[in-house]
Amino acid sequence: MSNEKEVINNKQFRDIIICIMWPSAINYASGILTREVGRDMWISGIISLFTVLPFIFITINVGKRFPDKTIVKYSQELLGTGLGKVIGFILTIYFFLIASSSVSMYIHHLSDFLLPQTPFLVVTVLHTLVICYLIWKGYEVIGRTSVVAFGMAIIFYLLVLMASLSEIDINRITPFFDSGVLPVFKASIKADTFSGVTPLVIAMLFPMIKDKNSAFRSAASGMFIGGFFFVFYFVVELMVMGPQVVALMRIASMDFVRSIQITQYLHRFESFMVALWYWSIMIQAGILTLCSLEAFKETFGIKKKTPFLVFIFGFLMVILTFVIGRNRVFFLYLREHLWQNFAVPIDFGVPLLVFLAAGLKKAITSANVNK
Amino acid sequence: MRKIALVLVIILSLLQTGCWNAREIDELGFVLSIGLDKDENGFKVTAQIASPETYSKTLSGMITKPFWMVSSTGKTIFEAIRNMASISSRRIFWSHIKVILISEDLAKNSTLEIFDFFTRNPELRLRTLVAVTPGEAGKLLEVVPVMEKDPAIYLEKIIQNKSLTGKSYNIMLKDFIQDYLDPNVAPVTSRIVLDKSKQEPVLKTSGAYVFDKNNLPIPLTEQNTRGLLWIKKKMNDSIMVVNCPYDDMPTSLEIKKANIGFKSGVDNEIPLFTINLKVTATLTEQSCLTNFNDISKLKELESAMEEVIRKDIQSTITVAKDLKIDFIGLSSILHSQHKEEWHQISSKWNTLFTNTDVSIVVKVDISHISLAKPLEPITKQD
Repeated sequence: MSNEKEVINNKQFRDIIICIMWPSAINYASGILTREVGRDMWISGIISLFTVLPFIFITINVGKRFPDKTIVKYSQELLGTGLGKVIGFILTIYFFLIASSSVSMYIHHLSDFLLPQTPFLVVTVLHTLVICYLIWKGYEVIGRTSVVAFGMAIIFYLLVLMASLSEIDINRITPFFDSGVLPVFKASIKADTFSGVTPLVIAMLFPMIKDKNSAFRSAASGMFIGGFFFVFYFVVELMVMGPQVVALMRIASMDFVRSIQITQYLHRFESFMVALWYWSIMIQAGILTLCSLEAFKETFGIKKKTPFLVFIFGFLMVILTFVIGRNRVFFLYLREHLWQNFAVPIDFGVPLLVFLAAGLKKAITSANVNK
Repeated sequence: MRKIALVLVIILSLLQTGCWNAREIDELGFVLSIGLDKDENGFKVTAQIASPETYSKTLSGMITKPFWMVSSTGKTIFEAIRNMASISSRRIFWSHIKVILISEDLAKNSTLEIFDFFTRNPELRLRTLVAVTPGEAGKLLEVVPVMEKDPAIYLEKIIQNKSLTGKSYNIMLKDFIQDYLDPNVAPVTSRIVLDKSKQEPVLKTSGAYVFDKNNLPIPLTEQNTRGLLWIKKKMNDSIMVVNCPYDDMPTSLEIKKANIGFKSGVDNEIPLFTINLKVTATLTEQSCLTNFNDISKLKELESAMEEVIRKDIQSTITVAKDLKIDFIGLSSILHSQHKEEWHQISSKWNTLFTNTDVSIVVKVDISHISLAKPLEPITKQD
């Protein structure tokens, strides 16, 4: 059931999509992809955008047939209550897991580089409190904050461009398709684990969008802007540090920021960059947790969002983040080797299943009408 | 809602995350440079730590030494650094380090350990300069410069002045590691020596060090380093001394701009390269009386300079082939331009490199000579 009171305009919708696309991709994805295909990792990033785009299209296409319902609700209608609830439950867990992964990435940034003495749990609790506040406030507040986050992202990338201009060596990204065409396409599947959740989030946000007719344009532009952000970062990272160094790093983005400077006077500006980046990852974690909460409510027929429910989600978020994020070795293994095994089937399988079911239902309805 | 907000504020006030990591400035030892030497235990680490009082705008009392030197030993670099805590009241802080100076002796044995530590360290910047010295690194860091407050800043600036002299090299840690990890390219670092010819010994950059396949540092002469600088397009603002074509007196030319282009190919497993170098220079000094306002004479000087540059580059390539080390980066050029051919021969590159055929085409344009006629002595007429 959609929240009839909450409306987000198309600009806010676009900015939410941007915030989903880039902050975690620049974090772990660059190292993961470089270890896979070396200097071609940015090409895999571009390919991943074009693999996600058709699924955004079909998601919006189905959403237009159920303008006031999220995917959780209309999947029950299209696939039956039982299977629909299974889908809803899967989406609840999946959104929650990705949100926890986002939170873990942020905490790794802080704990490994800026606040090494602060206990992991303390930073987790604090960040989760912020996320809980966001989900309590709802989609509209997240939408408005995402507009600010987009502005911060623009400043972030301008600073990256200025600081890296003197260090760029284009020979470090050539030749293109050095690893071969097939491996680069194959590596784009790993890139999809960072951006592939976008169609599902759109399916949850769709009922809130003010102008649903322009939703695809907003979503596509959000995806390409967010995608441009992380592909640009990949390219600059490679040109400044080189593929061997990027492949060595766990969080290549922070090591990249350690390699650049703005003039002779702004040397160590990692903290400043993290502050700019935080806006987007906060939106990412917030919107994903909220989608998880809404999916849970719709699956189990809970009508109202109560503080107790938000508290439970926050508590579980802390526990899950502690379990998956505290051991960095495990987290990297999870993200690099295991994640695509469940993320790709859910990211692409669920929208496709629902789309096929909608198509089938339409065909049956048309056949019945003709009779 | 207000009650929830109040509770949150109280909780957040108690969980002051900054306090765990609070480090006051007077508790930190800002390392500006580090010297690594071989020790019977493993490593001897000498850190040059800034004395913040001397950077204060309002100095009071006696002017004290602007830095402290702290040394300790250990089986690993990290142990040696931690052992400093037994003699240093301040905790080592890496964020402002400018130069890592490694002794040649240590570099022969422990390159992997050295760079493993510095790569993992989250405080250290990857822009830190890397240099090797034939002497003892710790002793060199104690040399007090005349022009700067502390040796680290002096060392950083003379290394960065490589293009002004055209005789030395510089590399940052990130670029060193990139070349170090590339199986076909050898990393090159700065070479720092102690010049004892002056009344007070001074630190000096001279030539470079190349790391071979076994990561042993091999010194490179100043001339060969200059050839390398030409190839790496790092000779802007540098100087060339060329003999005047008419009387062999030296002339100085300042390099204003140098553009280099490469063409590569493979013919029967023989790598072929053409280096096209375009140089714009200015005549800044001449000892001969030739009037270079005469275009034909200027052309002769340009040809003389072209020949000198060609020799520089050729000698560097010859040295690289003799050492069988591709520190020039020809493999990267071939890889970039002909990836299919490269993948066929890459496993044999170290052998094929010695048979590389390189042709060098240099075009010099001396666009400016400052004076309308040479400075000639006026002869008295009786």
